[in-house]
Amino acid sequence: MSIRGRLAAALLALTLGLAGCHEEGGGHAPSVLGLAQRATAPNPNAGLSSEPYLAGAPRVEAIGFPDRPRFFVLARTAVIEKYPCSTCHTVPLERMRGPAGTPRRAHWSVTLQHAPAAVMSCATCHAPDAPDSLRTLEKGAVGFDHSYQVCAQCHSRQVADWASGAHGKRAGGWAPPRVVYACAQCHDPHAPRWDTRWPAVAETTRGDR
Amino acid sequence: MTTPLRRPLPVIQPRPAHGGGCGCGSGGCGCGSGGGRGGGGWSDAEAGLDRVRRLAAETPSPAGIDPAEDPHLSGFRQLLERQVDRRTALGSIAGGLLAGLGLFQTACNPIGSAEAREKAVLDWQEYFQGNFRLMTNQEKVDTVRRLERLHELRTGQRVDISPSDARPGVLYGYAFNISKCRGYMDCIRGCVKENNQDRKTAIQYIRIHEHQKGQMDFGQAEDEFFHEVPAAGHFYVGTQCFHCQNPPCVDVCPVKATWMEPDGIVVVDYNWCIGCRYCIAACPYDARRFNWSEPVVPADEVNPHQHYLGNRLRKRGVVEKCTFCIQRSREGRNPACVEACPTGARIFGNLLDPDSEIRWVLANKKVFRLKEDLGTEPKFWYYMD
Repeated sequence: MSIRGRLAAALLALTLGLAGCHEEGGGHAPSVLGLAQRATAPNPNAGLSSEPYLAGAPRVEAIGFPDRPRFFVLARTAVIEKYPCSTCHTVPLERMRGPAGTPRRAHWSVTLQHAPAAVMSCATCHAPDAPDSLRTLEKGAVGFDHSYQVCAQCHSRQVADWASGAHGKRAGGWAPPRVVYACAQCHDPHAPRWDTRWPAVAETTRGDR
Repeated sequence: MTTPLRRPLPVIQPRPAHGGGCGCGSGGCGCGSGGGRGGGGWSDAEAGLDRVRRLAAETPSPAGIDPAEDPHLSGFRQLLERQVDRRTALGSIAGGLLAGLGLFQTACNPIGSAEAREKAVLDWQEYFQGNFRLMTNQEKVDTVRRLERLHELRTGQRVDISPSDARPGVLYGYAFNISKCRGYMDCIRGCVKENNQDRKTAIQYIRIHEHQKGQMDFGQAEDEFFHEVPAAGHFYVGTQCFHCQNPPCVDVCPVKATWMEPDGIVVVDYNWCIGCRYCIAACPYDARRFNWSEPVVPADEVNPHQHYLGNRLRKRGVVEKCTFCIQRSREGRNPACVEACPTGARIFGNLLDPDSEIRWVLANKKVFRLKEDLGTEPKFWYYMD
């Protein structure tokens, strides 16, 4: 190789090397978002699973979110104490009720504080003639395990966030499978508003100063 | 026993003021001849060292011009060219030797109880423990077993310290919903319980800042509120370690005791930390805490499920911080703050999993990070409903 050729090769190598250096040591760190989006790991969660922390909690697969990855909702019927309702509700509601003005015979704790009376009554969500399931505004039956479908009729934005993980709380850990709490496990459907309360601890910023 | 000390110590010129010099000045000093004196052993060695120490305690004689005081030299040169007289040097060496000797002697003491001896041996090994990042897997296992045993010898309590490595295909990220946080501080309680923070100085990794609606100025925020929450007209923003992808705290550590793991968690090797607190000064987010006193955790409150880089018990004089509960997250669980939050304001997950909740939030919600202009690339986002 001639001297000129060698010189050219050396120059090329130097240029490439400098370009490499620039990319490596350039002032700005790579955006972590870009890092995440470019990742192509075949098994991104390293084979980890949340199952040990779910301890076999009863769950149902969420229905009605075709554009979301599969996820599960903690089952409600398994934890509602007196389910199925038909064990008590054997006769139509009118016949179970005492005369007008007498004290209630059951469900003493339930006072509907959800929406104005003009908008909502017990029968908006419960079917008096089919007590073992909830019902939609169009009188469709919805099982208690899928109660989020009833909530979704009005709170569509919250349920969309919930189905994707921006609202609500996850059971188990961060690893798959994704199992989430149902709406009614955090919000009392009869009085969904959260109360104020005292903080769990006294915060201190002095600790290490 | 005499082998390590056989070499005679350097000869010191006898000074007239000292009445003809000490035994050390006469060539093979007392320290080296232990074996030849009918097995005087350790006491002889100690006597010799004691003499050295007494020598060192004397005021050094002025030896010409001290370059340390030469104003024409740079500070570094002054330091380099400082004339250390032989006594001072010898004194320093002897001091270090004595400390090591004491430790070694306890370890070899045939009289003390077996447990005391074992503890001394383990203490000795811990003293010379290397940097965790440079250890082989076997060394890591040996290290945590030693720490577990030491804890058992000290307290009678068993703990389980994991040395687990980062898993491939995982990069942890965190998102905090400022519309949902109500200032309940269950997260702080969960964090302190999980991570064995010092109860005496009440170290807390998480801060909840109470902001007046209409502004977000951390200088104006209330950080030590204690009233019913949420207060009318206020919102709450939690901060903790953001596990920056470009962490300034790591850059400044002079001993490389803190680093970012491949799964994105910024960790501290508490055994390697020298407590200089450069990292605390470098962190723009007030994320790191310092153990000013020996940490106190009541025995019945110690969380025995620990990680070497996480919630194992710390010592006085080391820096600590949030590790995304490394002992939990590396097993697929959520950090304690996420699990404790009753409002669902905290979500955690794998940034490399396109189906994860956090990736959906980043792609579909309006998110921001604190002090983004610094280029620290925190892996902790804020979003709102």
